Amino acid sequence: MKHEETKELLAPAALDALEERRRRGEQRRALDAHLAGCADCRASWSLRDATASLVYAAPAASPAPELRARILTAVKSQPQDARRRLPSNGGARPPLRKLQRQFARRIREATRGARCQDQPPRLMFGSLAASLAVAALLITLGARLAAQRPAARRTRAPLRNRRPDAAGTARTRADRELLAAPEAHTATLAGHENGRARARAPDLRREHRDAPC
Amino acid sequence: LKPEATPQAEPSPDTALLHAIARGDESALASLYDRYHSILLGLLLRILHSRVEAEDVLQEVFLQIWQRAANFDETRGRAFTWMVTLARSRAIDRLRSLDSRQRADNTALRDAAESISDASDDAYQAEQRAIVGAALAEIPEEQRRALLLAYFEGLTQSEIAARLNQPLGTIKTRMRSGLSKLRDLLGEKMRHGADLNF
Repeated sequence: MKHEETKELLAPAALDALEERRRRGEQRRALDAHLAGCADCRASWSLRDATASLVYAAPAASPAPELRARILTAVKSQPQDARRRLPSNGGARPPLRKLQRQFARRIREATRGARCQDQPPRLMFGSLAASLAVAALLITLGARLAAQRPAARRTRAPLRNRRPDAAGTARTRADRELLAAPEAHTATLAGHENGRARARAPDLRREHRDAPC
Repeated sequence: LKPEATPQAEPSPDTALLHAIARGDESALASLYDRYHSILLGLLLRILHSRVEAEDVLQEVFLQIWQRAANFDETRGRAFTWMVTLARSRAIDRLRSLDSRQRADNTALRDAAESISDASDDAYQAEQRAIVGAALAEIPEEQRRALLLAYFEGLTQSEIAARLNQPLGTIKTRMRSGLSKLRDLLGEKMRHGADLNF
Protein backbone atom coordinates (compact mmCIF):
# COMPACT_ATOMS: atom_id res chain seq x y z
CA MET A 1 0.00 0.00 0.00
CA LYS A 2 1.30 3.43 -0.93
CA HIS A 3 1.95 6.13 1.64
CA GLU A 4 -0.85 8.42 0.46
CA GLU A 5 -3.37 5.58 0.43
CA THR A 6 -2.44 4.71 4.00
CA LYS A 7 -2.75 8.31 5.13
CA GLU A 8 -6.31 8.26 3.81
CA LEU A 9 -7.17 5.18 5.83
CA LEU A 10 -5.85 6.37 9.18
CA ALA A 11 -8.86 8.51 10.13
CA PRO A 12 -11.54 5.93 9.25
CA ALA A 13 -9.45 3.21 10.89
CA ALA A 14 -9.17 5.29 14.07
CA LEU A 15 -12.96 5.69 14.03
CA ASP A 16 -13.45 2.00 13.15
CA ALA A 17 -15.35 3.20 10.08
CA LEU A 18 -13.30 1.67 7.29
CA GLU A 19 -15.05 1.37 3.99
CA GLU A 20 -17.05 -1.77 3.19
CA ARG A 21 -17.09 -4.15 6.12
CA ARG A 22 -16.34 -7.14 3.89
CA ARG A 23 -13.04 -5.55 2.79
CA ARG A 24 -11.99 -4.34 6.22
CA GLY A 25 -9.67 -7.25 6.95
CA GLU A 26 -7.89 -6.74 3.66
CA GLN A 27 -7.54 -2.99 4.22
CA ARG A 28 -6.32 -3.47 7.74
CA ARG A 29 -3.66 -5.98 6.80
CA ALA A 30 -2.39 -3.59 4.13
CA LEU A 31 -2.43 -0.77 6.65
CA ASP A 32 -0.49 -2.83 9.18
CA ALA A 33 2.09 -3.75 6.59
CA HIS A 34 2.63 -0.11 5.65
CA LEU A 35 2.77 1.10 9.22
CA ALA A 36 5.44 -1.46 10.02
CA GLY A 37 7.89 0.57 7.96
CA CYS A 38 6.52 4.12 8.08
CA ALA A 39 7.35 6.26 11.11
CA ASP A 40 5.35 9.19 9.73
CA CYS A 41 2.10 7.21 9.57
CA ARG A 42 2.74 5.66 12.96
CA ALA A 43 3.09 9.13 14.43
CA SER A 44 -0.29 10.01 12.92
CA TRP A 45 -1.85 7.19 14.90
CA SER A 46 -2.40 9.68 17.73
CA LEU A 47 -5.66 10.18 15.84
CA ARG A 48 -6.90 7.26 17.88
CA ASP A 49 -6.39 9.17 21.12
CA ALA A 50 -8.35 12.08 19.67
CA THR A 51 -11.09 9.59 18.75
CA ALA A 52 -11.23 8.28 22.32
CA SER A 53 -11.74 11.85 23.56
CA LEU A 54 -15.12 11.87 21.81
CA VAL A 55 -16.42 9.88 24.77
CA TYR A 56 -16.77 13.28 26.47
CA ALA A 57 -19.25 14.36 23.82
CA ALA A 58 -21.83 12.11 25.48
CA PRO A 59 -23.42 13.17 28.77
CA ALA A 60 -22.40 11.15 31.80
CA ALA A 61 -24.89 8.69 33.23
CA SER A 62 -25.23 6.82 36.51
CA PRO A 63 -25.72 3.06 36.41
CA ALA A 64 -27.94 1.23 38.87
CA PRO A 65 -26.18 1.23 42.27
CA GLU A 66 -26.15 -2.57 42.45
CA LEU A 67 -24.17 -2.91 39.20
CA ARG A 68 -20.85 -2.25 40.94
CA ALA A 69 -21.37 -5.07 43.43
CA ARG A 70 -22.61 -7.36 40.65
CA ILE A 71 -19.41 -6.78 38.63
CA LEU A 72 -17.13 -7.24 41.64
CA THR A 73 -18.91 -10.48 42.50
CA ALA A 74 -18.76 -11.73 38.93
CA VAL A 75 -15.00 -11.23 38.59
CA LYS A 76 -14.36 -13.60 41.47
CA SER A 77 -15.24 -16.48 39.17
CA GLN A 78 -13.84 -14.89 36.01
CA PRO A 79 -10.44 -16.20 34.89
CA GLN A 80 -7.83 -13.67 33.80
CA ASP A 81 -5.56 -13.82 30.77
CA ALA A 82 -2.02 -14.82 31.63
CA ARG A 83 0.54 -12.07 31.99
CA ARG A 84 1.77 -11.06 28.55
CA ARG A 85 5.40 -10.34 29.33
CA LEU A 86 7.61 -13.22 30.27
CA PRO A 87 11.32 -13.43 31.08
CA SER A 88 13.52 -13.54 27.98
CA ASN A 89 13.61 -17.36 28.08
CA GLY A 90 9.96 -17.54 29.05
CA GLY A 91 10.92 -18.89 32.46
CA ALA A 92 11.84 -22.21 30.89
CA ARG A 93 14.60 -24.41 32.23
CA PRO A 94 17.82 -24.58 30.21
CA PRO A 95 17.46 -27.21 27.50
CA LEU A 96 19.03 -30.63 28.05
CA ARG A 97 21.53 -30.20 25.19
CA LYS A 98 22.85 -27.04 26.84
CA LEU A 99 23.36 -28.92 30.12
CA GLN A 100 25.10 -31.73 28.26
CA ARG A 101 27.45 -29.21 26.61
CA GLN A 102 28.21 -27.67 30.00
CA PHE A 103 29.01 -31.09 31.46
CA ALA A 104 31.21 -31.97 28.49
CA ARG A 105 33.14 -28.72 28.85
CA ARG A 106 33.72 -29.37 32.54
CA ILE A 107 34.95 -32.87 31.80
CA ARG A 108 37.37 -31.53 29.19
CA GLU A 109 38.62 -28.95 31.69
CA ALA A 110 39.02 -31.57 34.40
CA THR A 111 40.85 -33.93 32.03
CA ARG A 112 43.17 -31.15 30.90
CA GLY A 113 43.94 -30.45 34.56
CA ALA A 114 44.78 -34.13 35.11
CA ARG A 115 47.38 -34.04 32.34
CA CYS A 116 49.09 -30.95 33.72
CA GLN A 117 52.58 -31.91 34.89
CA ASP A 118 52.74 -29.11 37.51
CA GLN A 119 49.60 -30.25 39.29
CA PRO A 120 49.99 -32.15 42.58
CA PRO A 121 49.29 -35.91 42.14
CA ARG A 122 46.36 -35.94 44.62
CA LEU A 123 44.53 -33.19 42.73
CA MET A 124 45.24 -34.91 39.41
CA PHE A 125 43.78 -38.10 40.80
CA GLY A 126 40.78 -36.26 42.25
CA SER A 127 40.04 -34.52 38.93
CA LEU A 128 40.26 -37.80 37.08
CA ALA A 129 37.91 -39.47 39.59
CA ALA A 130 35.46 -36.57 39.32
CA SER A 131 35.44 -36.66 35.54
CA LEU A 132 34.91 -40.44 35.58
CA ALA A 133 31.99 -40.02 37.98
CA VAL A 134 30.41 -37.35 35.76
CA ALA A 135 31.00 -39.50 32.68
CA ALA A 136 29.30 -42.45 34.42
CA LEU A 137 26.37 -40.22 35.31
CA LEU A 138 26.04 -39.02 31.74
CA ILE A 139 26.18 -42.59 30.41
CA THR A 140 23.41 -43.60 32.82
CA LEU A 141 21.29 -40.63 31.85
CA GLY A 142 21.95 -41.31 28.17
CA ALA A 143 20.89 -44.95 28.54
CA ARG A 144 17.64 -43.91 30.25
CA LEU A 145 16.90 -41.36 27.58
CA ALA A 146 17.59 -43.93 24.87
CA ALA A 147 15.17 -46.32 26.57
CA GLN A 148 12.47 -43.65 26.67
CA ARG A 149 13.06 -42.43 23.10
CA PRO A 150 10.86 -44.99 21.24
CA ALA A 151 7.92 -44.25 23.52
CA ALA A 152 8.45 -40.52 23.11
CA ARG A 153 8.62 -40.97 19.34
CA ARG A 154 5.32 -42.83 19.39
CA THR A 155 3.73 -40.07 21.47
CA ARG A 156 5.05 -37.32 19.21
CA ALA A 157 4.20 -39.01 15.93
CA PRO A 158 0.52 -37.97 15.76
CA LEU A 159 1.48 -34.44 16.68
CA ARG A 160 4.34 -34.07 14.23
CA ASN A 161 2.22 -32.80 11.39
CA ARG A 162 0.60 -30.23 13.64
CA ARG A 163 3.80 -28.77 15.06
CA PRO A 164 3.92 -25.10 13.97
CA ASP A 165 6.81 -23.86 11.90
CA ALA A 166 8.17 -20.33 12.39
CA ALA A 167 5.39 -18.84 10.26
CA GLY A 168 2.81 -20.82 12.20
CA THR A 169 4.18 -19.57 15.50
CA ALA A 170 4.03 -15.98 14.23
CA ARG A 171 0.45 -16.58 13.09
CA THR A 172 -0.46 -17.96 16.49
CA ARG A 173 1.04 -14.90 18.15
CA ALA A 174 -0.82 -12.60 15.76
CA ASP A 175 -4.06 -14.48 16.45
CA ARG A 176 -3.53 -14.10 20.17
CA GLU A 177 -2.94 -10.36 19.77
CA LEU A 178 -5.97 -10.12 17.52
CA LEU A 179 -8.19 -11.65 20.16
CA ALA A 180 -6.72 -9.45 22.86
CA ALA A 181 -7.06 -6.11 21.05
CA PRO A 182 -9.63 -3.75 22.57
CA GLU A 183 -11.14 -2.94 19.16
CA ALA A 184 -11.82 -6.62 18.47
CA HIS A 185 -15.46 -7.11 17.59
CA THR A 186 -17.59 -10.07 18.53
CA ALA A 187 -20.54 -11.44 16.65
CA THR A 188 -22.77 -14.42 17.28
CA LEU A 189 -22.43 -16.96 14.50
CA ALA A 190 -25.64 -18.03 12.83
CA GLY A 191 -26.56 -21.60 13.72
CA HIS A 192 -24.36 -21.63 16.82
CA GLU A 193 -26.19 -20.82 19.97
CA ASN A 194 -23.03 -20.04 21.87
CA GLY A 195 -20.69 -19.54 18.95
CA ARG A 196 -18.73 -16.30 18.93
CA ALA A 197 -16.45 -14.91 16.27
CA ARG A 198 -13.95 -12.11 16.71
CA ALA A 199 -12.38 -9.74 14.25
CA ARG A 200 -10.13 -6.83 14.94
CA ALA A 201 -9.29 -3.39 13.66
CA PRO A 202 -5.70 -3.02 12.43
CA ASP A 203 -3.00 -3.76 14.87
CA LEU A 204 -1.50 -0.35 14.59
CA ARG A 205 0.11 -0.55 17.97
CA ARG A 206 2.75 -3.06 17.05
CA GLU A 207 6.31 -2.20 17.80
CA HIS A 208 7.69 -1.01 14.53
CA ARG A 209 11.06 0.00 13.24
CA ASP A 210 11.57 3.72 12.96
CA ALA A 211 12.58 3.68 9.35
CA PRO A 212 11.24 6.66 7.43
CA CYS A 213 8.59 6.00 4.84
CA LEU B 1 -1.48 15.40 23.31
CA LYS B 2 -0.16 14.19 26.59
CA PRO B 3 2.75 11.80 26.03
CA GLU B 4 2.24 8.35 27.45
CA ALA B 5 4.57 7.45 30.28
CA THR B 6 7.52 5.37 29.21
CA PRO B 7 7.93 1.99 30.88
CA GLN B 8 10.80 3.38 32.98
CA ALA B 9 8.82 6.44 34.12
CA GLU B 10 6.08 6.48 36.71
CA PRO B 11 2.99 4.96 35.07
CA SER B 12 -0.17 7.06 34.80
CA PRO B 13 -2.83 6.32 37.45
CA ASP B 14 -4.94 4.47 34.86
CA THR B 15 -1.98 2.38 33.75
CA ALA B 16 -1.13 1.56 37.36
CA LEU B 17 -4.73 0.46 37.94
CA LEU B 18 -4.68 -1.80 34.88
CA HIS B 19 -1.41 -3.36 36.03
CA ALA B 20 -2.91 -4.00 39.45
CA ILE B 21 -6.03 -5.51 37.87
CA ALA B 22 -3.79 -7.77 35.79
CA ARG B 23 -2.32 -9.02 39.07
CA GLY B 24 -5.82 -9.93 40.24
CA ASP B 25 -6.40 -6.89 42.47
CA GLU B 26 -10.18 -6.56 42.75
CA SER B 27 -9.94 -3.24 44.61
CA ALA B 28 -8.12 -1.78 41.58
CA LEU B 29 -11.05 -2.80 39.38
CA ALA B 30 -13.40 -1.16 41.86
CA SER B 31 -11.30 2.03 41.68
CA LEU B 32 -11.35 2.00 37.88
CA TYR B 33 -15.11 1.48 37.96
CA ASP B 34 -15.57 4.38 40.39
CA ARG B 35 -13.45 6.57 38.15
CA TYR B 36 -15.03 5.82 34.78
CA HIS B 37 -18.44 4.17 35.18
CA SER B 38 -20.43 7.36 34.51
CA ILE B 39 -18.34 8.36 31.46
CA LEU B 40 -18.51 4.88 29.96
CA LEU B 41 -22.22 4.45 30.67
CA GLY B 42 -22.82 7.81 28.99
CA LEU B 43 -20.98 6.53 25.91
CA LEU B 44 -22.88 3.23 25.89
CA LEU B 45 -26.21 4.94 26.38
CA ARG B 46 -25.49 7.34 23.53
CA ILE B 47 -24.71 4.40 21.22
CA LEU B 48 -27.44 1.99 22.35
CA HIS B 49 -30.23 4.36 23.46
CA SER B 50 -31.32 1.78 25.99
CA ARG B 51 -30.41 1.82 29.66
CA VAL B 52 -30.93 -1.93 30.02
CA GLU B 53 -28.63 -2.70 27.10
CA ALA B 54 -26.09 -0.06 28.16
CA GLU B 55 -25.82 -1.36 31.72
CA ASP B 56 -25.51 -4.90 30.44
CA VAL B 57 -22.68 -3.88 28.13
CA LEU B 58 -21.04 -1.84 30.93
CA GLN B 59 -20.88 -5.00 33.03
CA GLU B 60 -19.45 -6.91 30.06
CA VAL B 61 -16.83 -4.18 29.55
CA PHE B 62 -15.58 -4.30 33.14
CA LEU B 63 -15.50 -8.09 33.07
CA GLN B 64 -13.38 -7.88 29.90
CA ILE B 65 -11.10 -5.30 31.51
CA TRP B 66 -10.63 -7.74 34.37
CA GLN B 67 -10.00 -10.61 32.02
CA ARG B 68 -7.75 -8.81 29.54
CA ALA B 69 -5.85 -6.25 31.62
CA ALA B 70 -2.70 -8.33 31.22
CA ASN B 71 -2.84 -7.67 27.48
CA PHE B 72 -2.67 -3.93 27.92
CA ASP B 73 0.74 -2.57 26.95
CA GLU B 74 1.37 1.05 27.85
CA THR B 75 4.18 1.29 25.30
CA ARG B 76 1.60 0.77 22.55
CA GLY B 77 -1.16 3.11 23.64
CA ARG B 78 -2.81 4.94 26.49
CA ALA B 79 -4.87 3.20 29.15
CA PHE B 80 -7.77 5.59 28.64
CA THR B 81 -7.81 4.95 24.88
CA TRP B 82 -7.60 1.19 25.45
CA MET B 83 -10.54 1.21 27.83
CA VAL B 84 -12.76 3.54 25.80
CA THR B 85 -12.00 1.60 22.60
CA LEU B 86 -12.99 -1.62 24.35
CA ALA B 87 -16.26 -0.11 25.58
CA ARG B 88 -17.17 1.39 22.23
CA SER B 89 -16.42 -1.84 20.36
CA ARG B 90 -18.64 -3.83 22.71
CA ALA B 91 -21.44 -1.29 22.28
CA ILE B 92 -21.19 -1.35 18.48
CA ASP B 93 -21.27 -5.16 18.58
CA ARG B 94 -24.42 -5.03 20.69
CA LEU B 95 -25.97 -2.43 18.40
CA ARG B 96 -25.37 -4.65 15.36
CA SER B 97 -26.75 -7.69 17.13
CA LEU B 98 -30.07 -5.97 17.87
CA ASP B 99 -32.74 -6.55 15.29
CA SER B 100 -34.24 -3.61 13.43
CA ARG B 101 -37.37 -3.50 15.60
CA GLN B 102 -35.34 -3.22 18.78
CA ARG B 103 -33.21 -0.54 17.16
CA ALA B 104 -36.29 1.42 16.17
CA ASP B 105 -37.64 1.17 19.73
CA ASN B 106 -34.35 2.36 21.11
CA THR B 107 -34.05 5.14 18.57
CA ALA B 108 -37.46 6.44 19.67
CA LEU B 109 -35.90 7.00 23.08
CA ARG B 110 -32.89 8.75 21.58
CA ASP B 111 -33.84 12.30 22.40
CA ALA B 112 -34.45 11.51 26.04
CA ALA B 113 -31.31 9.43 26.37
CA GLU B 114 -29.08 11.98 24.73
CA SER B 115 -30.32 15.09 26.40
CA ILE B 116 -30.64 13.94 30.00
CA SER B 117 -27.59 13.49 32.14
CA ASP B 118 -28.34 11.84 35.46
CA ALA B 119 -24.76 11.90 36.67
CA SER B 120 -22.53 14.77 37.59
CA ASP B 121 -18.89 14.88 36.55
CA ASP B 122 -16.19 15.47 39.09
CA ALA B 123 -14.08 18.59 38.56
CA TYR B 124 -11.52 16.77 36.44
CA GLN B 125 -14.10 15.18 34.15
CA ALA B 126 -16.01 18.44 33.90
CA GLU B 127 -12.82 20.13 32.73
CA GLN B 128 -12.17 17.45 30.15
CA ARG B 129 -15.73 17.62 28.90
CA ALA B 130 -15.44 21.37 28.55
CA ILE B 131 -12.17 21.06 26.61
CA VAL B 132 -13.54 18.46 24.20
CA GLY B 133 -16.77 20.40 23.81
CA ALA B 134 -14.84 23.56 22.97
CA ALA B 135 -12.66 21.69 20.48
CA LEU B 136 -15.70 20.14 18.79
CA ALA B 137 -17.36 23.54 18.59
CA GLU B 138 -14.40 24.82 16.57
CA ILE B 139 -14.72 22.06 13.99
CA PRO B 140 -16.95 22.85 11.01
CA GLU B 141 -20.47 21.46 11.43
CA GLU B 142 -20.31 19.04 8.50
CA GLN B 143 -17.01 17.56 9.69
CA ARG B 144 -18.26 17.25 13.25
CA ARG B 145 -21.40 15.50 12.04
CA ALA B 146 -19.39 12.92 10.10
CA LEU B 147 -17.21 12.22 13.13
CA LEU B 148 -20.12 11.83 15.51
CA LEU B 149 -22.05 9.57 13.13
CA ALA B 150 -19.06 7.27 12.85
CA TYR B 151 -18.29 7.31 16.54
CA PHE B 152 -21.73 7.01 18.11
CA GLU B 153 -23.60 5.10 15.43
CA GLY B 154 -20.81 2.87 14.19
CA LEU B 155 -21.43 3.82 10.56
CA THR B 156 -18.90 3.25 7.81
CA GLN B 157 -17.90 6.06 5.48
CA SER B 158 -20.27 4.84 2.75
CA GLU B 159 -23.13 4.54 5.24
CA ILE B 160 -22.51 8.09 6.37
CA ALA B 161 -22.42 9.20 2.73
CA ALA B 162 -25.79 7.55 2.17
CA ARG B 163 -27.25 8.97 5.36
CA LEU B 164 -26.17 12.52 4.52
CA ASN B 165 -26.75 12.11 0.80
CA GLN B 166 -23.21 13.20 0.02
CA PRO B 167 -20.52 11.72 -2.25
CA LEU B 168 -18.24 9.18 -0.55
CA GLY B 169 -15.16 11.26 -1.36
CA THR B 170 -16.65 14.24 0.44
CA ILE B 171 -17.31 12.18 3.56
CA LYS B 172 -13.79 10.78 3.52
CA THR B 173 -12.37 14.27 3.35
CA ARG B 174 -14.65 15.53 6.12
CA MET B 175 -13.74 12.66 8.38
CA ARG B 176 -10.01 13.04 7.80
CA SER B 177 -10.04 16.81 8.18
CA GLY B 178 -12.34 16.74 11.20
CA LEU B 179 -10.31 14.18 13.13
CA SER B 180 -7.00 15.88 12.34
CA LYS B 181 -8.42 19.18 13.48
CA LEU B 182 -9.77 17.65 16.68
CA ARG B 183 -6.35 16.18 17.44
CA ASP B 184 -4.62 19.49 16.77
CA LEU B 185 -7.10 21.45 18.88
CA LEU B 186 -6.76 19.05 21.81
CA GLY B 187 -2.98 19.23 21.47
CA GLU B 188 -3.21 23.01 21.55
CA LYS B 189 -5.31 22.95 24.73
CA MET B 190 -2.72 20.64 26.19
CA ARG B 191 0.07 23.09 25.42
CA HIS B 192 -1.97 25.73 27.19
CA GLY B 193 -1.88 23.78 30.40
CA ALA B 194 -4.95 21.57 30.35
CA ASP B 195 -4.33 18.13 31.82
CA LEU B 196 -5.92 15.85 29.29
CA ASN B 197 -5.82 12.12 29.86
CA PHE B 198 -6.06 11.21 26.17
